[in-house]
Amino acid sequence: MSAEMQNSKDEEIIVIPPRTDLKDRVLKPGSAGGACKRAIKAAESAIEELSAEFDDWMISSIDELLSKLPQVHQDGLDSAAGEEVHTIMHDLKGQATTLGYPVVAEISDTLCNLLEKTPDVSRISPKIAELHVRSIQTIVKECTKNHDDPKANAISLGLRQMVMKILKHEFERAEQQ
Amino acid sequence: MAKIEFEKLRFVVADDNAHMRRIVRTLLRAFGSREICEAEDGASALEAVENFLPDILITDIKMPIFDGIELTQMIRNPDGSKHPYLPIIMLTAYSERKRVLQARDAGVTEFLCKPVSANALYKRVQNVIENPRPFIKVSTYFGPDRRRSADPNFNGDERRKTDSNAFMVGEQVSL
Repeated sequence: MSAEMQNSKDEEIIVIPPRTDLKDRVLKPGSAGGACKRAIKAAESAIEELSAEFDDWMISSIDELLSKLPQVHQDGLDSAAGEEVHTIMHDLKGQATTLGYPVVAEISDTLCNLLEKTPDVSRISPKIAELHVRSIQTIVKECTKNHDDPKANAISLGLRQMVMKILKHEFERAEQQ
Repeated sequence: MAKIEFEKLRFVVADDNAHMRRIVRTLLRAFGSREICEAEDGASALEAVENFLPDILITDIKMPIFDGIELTQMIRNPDGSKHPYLPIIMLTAYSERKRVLQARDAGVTEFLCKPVSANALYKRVQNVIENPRPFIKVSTYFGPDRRRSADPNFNGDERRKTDSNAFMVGEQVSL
């Protein structure tokens, strides 16, 4: 139930008119279709220029993930190290597409999905996390960027199917208990 | 549609990931903005909002110390916050309905899913500026009106106070 619906029927709801101070200060009257397109184009070009650094960013994220794996194997995915792996994977899910690796974003999403939805994360083997990290490492090292590499797509699909099976099994197990 | 003078806009960008902050800063600078303050956790973001006094906050959800939802709740405190009406754009890799509703109920102005594109970010900033929404104040919520459009089938009592008293409140806070 949303917060608004929880209010008592008798409660007064105060509607405060929209503030226009920002609009008045930064909107210049007149048509700006061209300016809008130019600004977006300039931003796309700026990201393109930045893209020279993207491979280094991706490699540093993979190195960080690899450095966490021994601790995850020792303490499990429900540990501080497991949470760190989850955070890095969550970051990759959000930025890998911008960096030119949409399949890496898919794989990160698959692992995040498992860690966030499984009823008991301590039951998930650290080997599953390692498999995702190694897959990302392989794709960045051996596959072409974007969505057109069949090997990268096959790896991503295989991991997704595996995670779906694990989740199905874990939900069934939780229901039986 | 009018031109946005980005050079007059001040932003705070809060994200614990330095690469993501760099991407957002690069986009905002290309739009024309020069005053961009970065924060790497919820506490630094709140401090930046109070001291830097931005026009718009762009924040992630998942951050250390306190997250983007808690940060929004702290800013949308009409009695304790220095900047309760600040437009807040939540930029996150969480796209589940549950998260979107959580962000809405905390008082977020706009929600934007990663990966971020120049076009999507521009449109959110544009919407925040061109179409400011009324604020709603009740005991359980203070923030932008969560109704984006009127429900033509609604036939219940109108409980929203839009009389002269309510407008007086609006005039007081807009000073």
